[in-house]
Amino acid sequence: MVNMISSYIHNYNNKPQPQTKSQDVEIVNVKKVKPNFDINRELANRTFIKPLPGQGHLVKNRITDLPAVLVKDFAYDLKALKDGYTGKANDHQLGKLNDMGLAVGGLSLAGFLATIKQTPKTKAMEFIGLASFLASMSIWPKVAIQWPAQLIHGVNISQQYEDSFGRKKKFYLDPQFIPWDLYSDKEINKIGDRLGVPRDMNNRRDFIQDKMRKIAVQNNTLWMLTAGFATPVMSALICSVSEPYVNKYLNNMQMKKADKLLNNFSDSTEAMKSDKIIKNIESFIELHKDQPLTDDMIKTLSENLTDGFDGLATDAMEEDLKKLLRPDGVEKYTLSSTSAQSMFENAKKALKQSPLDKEMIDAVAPKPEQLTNLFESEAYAGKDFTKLQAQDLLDDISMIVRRNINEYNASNPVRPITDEIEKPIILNRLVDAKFDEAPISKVLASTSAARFNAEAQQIVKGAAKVMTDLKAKTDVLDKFAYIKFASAPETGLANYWNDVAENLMEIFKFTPEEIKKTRMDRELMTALLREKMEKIASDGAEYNRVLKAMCEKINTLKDTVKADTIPSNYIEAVDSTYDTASETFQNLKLENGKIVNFDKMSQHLTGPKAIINGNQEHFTDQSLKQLQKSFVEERFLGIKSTFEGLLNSMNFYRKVATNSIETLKDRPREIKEEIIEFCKHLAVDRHMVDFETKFYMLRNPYPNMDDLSDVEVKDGKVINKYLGKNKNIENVDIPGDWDFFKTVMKTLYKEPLHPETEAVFRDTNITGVGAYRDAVYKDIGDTKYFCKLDHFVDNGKSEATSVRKFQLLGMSPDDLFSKIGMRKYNSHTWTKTFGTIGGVLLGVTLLAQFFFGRMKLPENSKKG
Amino acid sequence: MILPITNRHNSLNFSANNQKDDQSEENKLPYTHDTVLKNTFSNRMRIGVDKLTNALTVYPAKGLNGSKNANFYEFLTMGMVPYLVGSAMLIAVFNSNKTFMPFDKKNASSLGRRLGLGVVFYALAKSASKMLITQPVKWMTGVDTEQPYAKVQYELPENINDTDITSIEYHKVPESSEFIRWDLMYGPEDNAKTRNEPYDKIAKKLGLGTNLNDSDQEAKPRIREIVIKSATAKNIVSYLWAATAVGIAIQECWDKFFEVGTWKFWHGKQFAKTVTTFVKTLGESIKDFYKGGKNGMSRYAGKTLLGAAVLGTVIGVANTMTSSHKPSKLDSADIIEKSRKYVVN
Repeated sequence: MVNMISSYIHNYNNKPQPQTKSQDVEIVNVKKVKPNFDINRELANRTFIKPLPGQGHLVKNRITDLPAVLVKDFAYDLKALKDGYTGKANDHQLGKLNDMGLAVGGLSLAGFLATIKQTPKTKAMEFIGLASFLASMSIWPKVAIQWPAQLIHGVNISQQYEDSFGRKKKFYLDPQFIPWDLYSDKEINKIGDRLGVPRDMNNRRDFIQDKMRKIAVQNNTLWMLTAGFATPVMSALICSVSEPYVNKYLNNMQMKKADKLLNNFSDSTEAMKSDKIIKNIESFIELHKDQPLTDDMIKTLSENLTDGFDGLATDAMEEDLKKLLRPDGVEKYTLSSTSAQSMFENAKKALKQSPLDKEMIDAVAPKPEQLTNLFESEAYAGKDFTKLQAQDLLDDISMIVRRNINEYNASNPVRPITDEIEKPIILNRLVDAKFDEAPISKVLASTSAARFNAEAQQIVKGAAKVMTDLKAKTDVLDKFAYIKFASAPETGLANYWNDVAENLMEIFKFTPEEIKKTRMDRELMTALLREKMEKIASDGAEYNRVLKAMCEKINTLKDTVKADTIPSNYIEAVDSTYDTASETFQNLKLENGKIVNFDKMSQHLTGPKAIINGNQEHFTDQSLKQLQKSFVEERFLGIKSTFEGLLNSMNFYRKVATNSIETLKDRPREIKEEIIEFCKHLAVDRHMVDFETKFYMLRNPYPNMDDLSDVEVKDGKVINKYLGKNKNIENVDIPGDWDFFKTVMKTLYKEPLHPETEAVFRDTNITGVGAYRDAVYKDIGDTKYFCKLDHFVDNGKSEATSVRKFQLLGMSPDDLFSKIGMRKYNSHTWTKTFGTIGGVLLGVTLLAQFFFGRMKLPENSKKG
Repeated sequence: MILPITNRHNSLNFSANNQKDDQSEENKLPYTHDTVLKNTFSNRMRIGVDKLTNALTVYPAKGLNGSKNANFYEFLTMGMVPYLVGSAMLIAVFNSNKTFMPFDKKNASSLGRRLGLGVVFYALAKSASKMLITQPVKWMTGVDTEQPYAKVQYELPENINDTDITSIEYHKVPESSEFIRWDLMYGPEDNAKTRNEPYDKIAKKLGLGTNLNDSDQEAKPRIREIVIKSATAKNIVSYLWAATAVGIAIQECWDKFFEVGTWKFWHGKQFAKTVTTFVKTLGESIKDFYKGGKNGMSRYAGKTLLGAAVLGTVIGVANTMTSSHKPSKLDSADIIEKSRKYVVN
């Protein structure tokens, strides 16, 4: 029908024009203008009533125009917002505002989600998630709809045009209103050729246009039907693909951030400084100035000064303050407002532990009023006294007690306090003991006459300043160490670990099927890993490839963490931080010029003092300074030993495969077989418990000691002649065989490296394995064990702590592979599921397009 | 062939003729001409269901055939499909954690379920929040920017046997700010008074005065302004509310709800419990969302997002209510000189 109408219109427009036009209004050339309004003249003046020529055109942007287009579109959006706000926007502008709302809402949502995420990566992924979603919304119609359609039919169904008002719209947006006039005949005919429309047909342009419209409508429908499936899947896939790159980028950023902290150490310290300690001390001074310094006050001061440090620091500070705030020489005491009450309570408490009646105790204990009266008497009011002078006071208090006893006896003649039994008990309990411990005198002892005077305040303020500075500096150091080396997600070391670990699976050529089979249990991985390593070790070329790839990957530590040992600038910063603080504490200059020494604190920071080489120096082993360094050292150790241990295991497998183990040369064949079997197992499954129990293995208690021949090796595996072959004898663990332990340790950690291994290490500049082997041999192999006597490699003098042993051992290879295997399996399955959905969808979408745009040619136009 | 719409009362129907005798009741078209519908909940639901049904059946069929009658309305309506499918797909993607190890699975499923809820909340909040703009505007101005009407669309026959050439589309009266269906806003044509009655009401609410000679002409520019301004506000604010709703949905307290919740509505008691728990958890999650975390930005994130949504809504409504079109101070009657003769075309 449309064809008929359009062909009619076409014919109508193209029909030969009559020579003379008949018009409703007669147009005459008016030479003389008539007065007032002359309709004929106005009509004759055709320019006057002609509409303006159309400004619309198809949008044909090149990629180079993109920045300009973006700016122009953004300006258009802003104008749309302004017009919308002022109520002047048109429909097109309002549509643009909807897109803007989507972006604003999306950004604010991603921003919100980012704030509740912990790590930089999870924060970043929120925005990447949004961006990938928005991108998928526009990529899918391009990749799956627009481009294929253009390839198949030569029609750009996403063609845009700009109308006379500068509004950019989709050409095929409304199939009932397509501004065909924007395409020239030449362009349409070209598309028609591409569409295979016969050249000689009537109304060719109409037919082509119809076909183009049909293709556009079909494709737009297809878009709507597929977008819902495609967008989330594509978005998820984009996120998944982009994650490693995000990781790498963020890691670099984080490492730079950490390096900046140390490179601008003084600036970072200033930024990190908090006046919390100083403020707390100041308010404490305000509250307690010129009061007698009690133990509690000194404790509170110490706690505030060492806020953010360990408990031992608080103790050291307390000790120093006690010494510094209470003047040297004869200690003096004073009475405080709470002394009377404390003495009364202490006395009662002490008496309660005696076999006296409660009634008796209440009667004899010195009452607070009695004590207050005494304290306010002329002899004691407002006075400080030495220990000796305090004795008078204590005597006077005893007098009160005696008086109380007499009064009690007077009112209780039936059951009086006897001079022989009860009286000595009472008096002894109350006064007759050490000054610092007796219930009454200890109250006095705690209220030293030393007051929180101006000098004491200066001492505390001085310490507060040093501690504030120290706190800021250690905060910077901690932050640096955390970003780079902490055992937390997305720190430098963690990123390195993940990167190397993931690559190991590829280097070892684990297939998805193998991963799938072994993912449920580590034990399954142990067997598989052993198989793999045997296979690799049996082939020289493959062994070289694997070892080289491993070494190269392990070497990336320098790139990932930007350091492959504990960084020297970190050590320098730690040293200078603690040394400065320690020195300052030793010679703290007060405002009044006096110099005081916080000896304990200084020793806590940089180690106890000892005479070293004739000089008094700090012995750094037990100090905060050492602690600050050892955190990083231990983290390095744990990770490096995991990978170095794996290299060592590889080397051992190669040695077995080439049958070149020197340590076992002179052993009987059966022992050789047992030890190799055990070492092979230990090389992939080495846990602390194996070393602690000094290797448990079921062996032949009566091995054949005469056969000294070599073991037979095939494809990296030992063909056992004895091991497991003797069915007559039950195998047992032989706990007394210390030689077995020693030999296993020697075979694994002392046996010279295989020449090929050495060559690879040399080529790739791997240096740590030797030291690692020595350390394990010595620190783990040489510990005494109470149960299996004499099971140590040398003299049993290893003093390694369990933490050191744990770090030295690192993660067992089978554990390592098992964990990565699980992760790989999960991400693989995930990608497979969504990749398949995406792939099938794309396939169906592409295929569908081959059926689009099919139209019958009008009868009379068909050729032949 | 296509008849002007004014001929609608003539019985020149091509098909689906509701006046034909042989047509049964069910086959009758619900509308014979463009008809304003009451903006009630049931009508909105009916329209929604109708549109969705078409979006899933008739329109894709027409579109995939490349029908010459396919139009922009159908394309837009089909836009519901990716919305719904995409939401379901997103929920599926968030919750595809079957292959994860137990620990990861637990965490992933907790987050996945909350994000899934977030998808639902997003859609609900996005459409419901529009009422926060349209309702106050309707109360204060009398202009219903969501007023639906049924449009009778006359199509070209697909082939020689095609007699069903009408289709019903559901539009909104002020859907296009440039081409508002003013004609549908007039009252009954009985006389001048009833004809202008709806405009009289709006003019009165807008403070343009009462008893105006041409209330429609006075009110139209203001109505257009209200339509544009409220649409601007709706387009931006609804996304902020949607974001807020997702923020509420991902609060951790929903985990507890998912532990006990059930979809099995036939387990009456259990389902009732689910509903009450849902309401309770919703309250709790809003509180948590507002309070935020303990440290840094997260303390302010919820407040900021909610604040932006509320502020946007308030500004949007306030802006819609203020106008640059001031009512003319002179009565229109005063401008026209009564002594002169006028010709009205």
